[in-house]
Amino acid sequence: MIYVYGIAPSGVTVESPPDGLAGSEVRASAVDGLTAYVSEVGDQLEADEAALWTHERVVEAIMSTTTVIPARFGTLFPDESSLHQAMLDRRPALQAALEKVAGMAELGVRVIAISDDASEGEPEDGRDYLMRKVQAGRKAKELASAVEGFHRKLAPTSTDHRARWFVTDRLVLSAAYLVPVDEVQHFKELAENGPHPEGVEVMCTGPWPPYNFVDATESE
Amino acid sequence: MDEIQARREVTLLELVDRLLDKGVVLSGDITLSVAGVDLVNVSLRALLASTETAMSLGSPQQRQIEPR
Repeated sequence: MIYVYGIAPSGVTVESPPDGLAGSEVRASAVDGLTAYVSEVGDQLEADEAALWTHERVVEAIMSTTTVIPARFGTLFPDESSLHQAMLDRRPALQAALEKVAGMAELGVRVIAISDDASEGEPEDGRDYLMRKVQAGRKAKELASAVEGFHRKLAPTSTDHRARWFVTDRLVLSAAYLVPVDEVQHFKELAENGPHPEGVEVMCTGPWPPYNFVDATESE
Repeated sequence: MDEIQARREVTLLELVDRLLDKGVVLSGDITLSVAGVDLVNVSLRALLASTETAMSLGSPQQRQIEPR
């Protein structure tokens, strides 16, 4: 089976990419101006945390040399000709994705509400319960608008973003930002140094390959 | 949870979000067709659901965390 890590424009050589899954050798497989980075794997994939990092390191190696569209983990083809056919079928979407992410990196931001000691423990009576409920609602609204303000400060440093709000009670915002490579440091400083809204932790990860911004299925 | 551990786990969460849910899908009928990939999807998500819970209980001392 052919395992796919990512797709880049042809014409640039990625020098000595790291090993692929199960120690396989990563090589280029080009068709009509697009180059997929692939390796031969058996049909039983060892799919665990180490495998995820192996995939990620190969994509990062491509990204350090040229623009890359990262592939979803687990993308397999029975042979090279079926891979090439899939690339040709999606050529316009892949070209558009390459243009969109050229010179860009992805930054991840998680905004997590810090647990509130004052609202812990059993309420004393019905009145106490209602008061707490009203206060919790008010706090949630204040928190949401403060975190929206924080997001609005980050967004102008990016060309696009994907934001999920209130993923869980505490995970107020989980977002990905598409940031020009030469703005990455500036973005990280904005995200990490704040000022942050009161009552939250902010965690910034990356730069990542642009996984969130290469959806070639949209235009199929 | 100490800071290095928290940092590692947030980075892992972000990695899993990206590799299993994002990235280009070249062929829907072939991706994830291999035995094991669906399984890891399930088991990793179970692990990470518990991690997410732990992270969301983060104390103020963890404010300076900066993964990667």
